[in-house]
Amino acid sequence: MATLDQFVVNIRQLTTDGKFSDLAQALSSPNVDHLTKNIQHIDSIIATFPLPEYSMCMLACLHAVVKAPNIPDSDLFLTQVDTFIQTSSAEQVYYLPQYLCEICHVITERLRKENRARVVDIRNSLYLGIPILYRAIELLRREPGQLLSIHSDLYQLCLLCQWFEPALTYLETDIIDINRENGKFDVKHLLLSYYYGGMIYACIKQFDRAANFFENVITAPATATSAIAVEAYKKYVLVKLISGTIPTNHLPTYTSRNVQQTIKSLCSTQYTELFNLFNNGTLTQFDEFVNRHRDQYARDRNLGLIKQTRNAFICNSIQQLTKTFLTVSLKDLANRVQLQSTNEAEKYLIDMIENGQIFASINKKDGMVIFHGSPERFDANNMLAKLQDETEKRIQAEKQLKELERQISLSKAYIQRTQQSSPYHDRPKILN
Amino acid sequence: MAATTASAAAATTTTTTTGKSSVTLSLHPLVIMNVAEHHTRVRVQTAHATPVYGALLGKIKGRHVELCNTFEFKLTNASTTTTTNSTVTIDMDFLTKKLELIRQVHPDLDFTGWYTVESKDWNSPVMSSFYSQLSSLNESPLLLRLDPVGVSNELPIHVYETIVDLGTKIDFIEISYTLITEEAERIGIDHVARYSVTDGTSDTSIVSDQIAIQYNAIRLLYQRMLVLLEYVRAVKQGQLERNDDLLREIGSLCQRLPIINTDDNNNQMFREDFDIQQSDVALLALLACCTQEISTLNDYLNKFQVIHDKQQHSSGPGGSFGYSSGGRRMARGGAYFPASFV
Repeated sequence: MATLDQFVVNIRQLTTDGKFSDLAQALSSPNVDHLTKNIQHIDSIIATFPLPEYSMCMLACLHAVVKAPNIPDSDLFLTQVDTFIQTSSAEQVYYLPQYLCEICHVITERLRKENRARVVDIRNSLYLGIPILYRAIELLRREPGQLLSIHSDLYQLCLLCQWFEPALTYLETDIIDINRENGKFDVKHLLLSYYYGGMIYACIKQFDRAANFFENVITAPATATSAIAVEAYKKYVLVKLISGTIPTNHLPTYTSRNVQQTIKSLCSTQYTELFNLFNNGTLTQFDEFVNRHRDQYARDRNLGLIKQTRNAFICNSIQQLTKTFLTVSLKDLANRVQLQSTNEAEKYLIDMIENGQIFASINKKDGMVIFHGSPERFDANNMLAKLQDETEKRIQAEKQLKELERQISLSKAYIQRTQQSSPYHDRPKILN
Repeated sequence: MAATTASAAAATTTTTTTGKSSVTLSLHPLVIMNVAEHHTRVRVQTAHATPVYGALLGKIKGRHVELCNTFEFKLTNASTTTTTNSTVTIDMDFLTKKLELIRQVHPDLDFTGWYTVESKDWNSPVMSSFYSQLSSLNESPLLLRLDPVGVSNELPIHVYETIVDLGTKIDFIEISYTLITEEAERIGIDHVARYSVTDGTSDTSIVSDQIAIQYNAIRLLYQRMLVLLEYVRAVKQGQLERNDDLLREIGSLCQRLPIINTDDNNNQMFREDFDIQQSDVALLALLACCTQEISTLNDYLNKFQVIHDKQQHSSGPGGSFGYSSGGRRMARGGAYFPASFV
C-alpha cells in the first residue's frame, strides 16, 4: 500500500512538472506494476486524477483495469472510457498510444463476445462501442492518413452491427502512414483493417475499391502467409468477378512467393477455377461448379458473394455476345446465355442498360436487341473536368512520394548502404 | 562668277564633291546610334551643344570598308567655347591603349576614321588637326559627320574620304555608303524606332496611338453592324420593306464571320472540334503527370530496395521481401564489385 501511495505521488509530481516522457516511462515500465497489483483500489485512485491535466495517469489506470481478469461493470467502464476520450488532452495521450489501443482492443473483444452471448438486444452494446472507437481514432491520429490498430476494431464492430457510416469516413482517406504505437502495432492489425475495409465496401457494393483493398492484403510483403491473406484472396476473386474486370493474371506479380504458393495449394480448385469459368464456361457449368463447392463457400461464408457472382456471370456472357453480334433476338439471347426465359433475359438487359454496362436498344415488336457502340466521345465538359481532377490527384500523390523519397535518402540506413558499396574504387555512385 | 566660286571653293580645304571614291563603304546602324547617343548625352549633360568626336572602328577588306562600331575620343583640351581657333587635341595614349584593348577582343576591327557631330558649316581646321593627329594610325581615315540640325528625307550622315592634296592641303571628298545590318541590330533598331519616337504634337506614345486606331476601327465596325441589325429587325417586324438583295448580302456577310463564341447553330462543328482538342490536351497533361509520378515512385523503390535487400539473389526464393526483381538488381549491382577486388 505504501509503495502504491508512493507511486501515485510520484506520478502526480511528474504530471504537474510536465515531464511527460519521464512519466510515460514510469507508467510503462513492466516491473513497476503497482496499479495492476492493487486493482481493488483503482476506483479511488481514478477519482484523484482530474482530467485533462492527469490524462496520462488516468490512461494508465484504465489500462490496468482493462488488463485485469474481469471487469466488474462493463457498462460503467465503457462510460468511463468514453468520458476519458472526450475530455483528455491529446498531447499527453500521444506518449502512450499503445495503452489506448489495448483498451480499445479489449473493449471490442468483450463486445463481440457479448454479442454472441446475448440473443436479444444484439446490437445495443455494439452501438455503444462504435462512438468510443471513433472518438479514440480522432484523438490519436496525428494526420488524416495515419492508420491505427483501432481502425481494424472499428471496422469489425461496424460490420457486426451493419452500420457503416463511421467506418466509411475513415475508409475514404488513403493511408499514407502507420502509427507505431511504441512498437505495439502488429501487422495483423494492418491486414485486418484492409480486410474488413474490403468487406465493408463489398457490402455497399463499391466492388472496385473492395477489390483494391483485398489486393492490398494479398500483396503485403510477407515472409509467412497469414490466414487473413488466404481469406482475403477468396473474397478478392469473387469481388473482382463481380466488378466485371477480369484480369489475365490472377494475382498481381508482386505478391510474395509464399503467399502465392499457399494460395495455389489451398484455394485453386474452388476459387481460381472461377476465373477460367468466367472466360470459357456457360451458365449451367457455372451453376454445377457452385453446387459442387457449396459447402466450402458456406464455410467461408461467401455464399452471398457467390450469388452476386452469378449475376455478374450472366452480364459477362451478354457482353461477350456483343462482340459477336450486332443484333440478336431475345430468344436467341436467352438460349445462348442459358437463361430460363426471354422475360428474364429482357430483365437482365434492361438492368444492364440502366447501369451503363451495355449500350443496346430493345425492339419489342419483333423481340430484337440491337447493340450499339459506346456513344462516349470523350469531348464533353465533364470529361475535361474529370481529367483535370485526375491530374490534380496525380500531382498531390507525386508530392507525397517526393517527400517519402526525400526522407528515405536522408535516412541513416540508406546512406550507410550506399557508402559501403564503393570504398575501393572510384566508380561514381549513382545516388539517383 | 564661276571663277570666284571655284576659287572660293578651292580656298577652303574642304570640298564636298561627290566623285568617284576609292573605297566602297558599308555602314552599320550601330555606328549611327552611338554617334547620336554621344551627341545627345553631351548636349543634355553640359547644357549646350558642343561638337563631339570619336573614333570609327571597322573592317577593311581591300577596297571595301565596313564601319561597325565607335568609341569616343578623350580630348585633352577641354575648352570648346571658341569654335574657330581652338585646337582640339586628342589624347593619343588613351587612344592607342583603347585600340589595343579592342584589338584583343575583336581582332578584325581596325581604326578606320573618326566622327563628328556638326552642322553643314563645319570647322575645317579642327578636322585638319584631327587628320594630322590620326594619320599615324591610319593613312586615309574616313570622316563621318552627323548633321544634328539638317532636315532631309535621308539620313543626315555624310562620310568623307580624306585626300592629301599637294602635301598640306587636305581634301574631304564625300563618298556614298550603304547600310547593312545584322539580325540583332535590326531587331534593336526596329524596337527603338517604333517605341521611342514621340509625336511632337501629342504626349502619348506610338503604342497607344496604334491601339487608338484599332479601337476606332472596331467602333466604326460596331456602329455599322448596329445599323444592319436594326435594318433586319425592322424588316422582320414589317416596318420596312423587304429587300432581298440586301438581305442576301447580309446573310453572306454573317457566314463569313468567325464563329468562336456565338451561340447559334453554326457553332456546332467548331465547338465539337474544340472540345475534342481540349480533352486531348488535358489527357496529355495527365499522361505527363502520371509519368512523373511513376518516375518518382521508381526512384523511391530503388532506394527502398537498397536498404532492405540484405541478401544476394542466390539465396532462397526471393530474398527478404520476396521481390524477385530486387534480387536481380542486387546481382547486377554485385557484378561491379568483383572486378574491383581483383
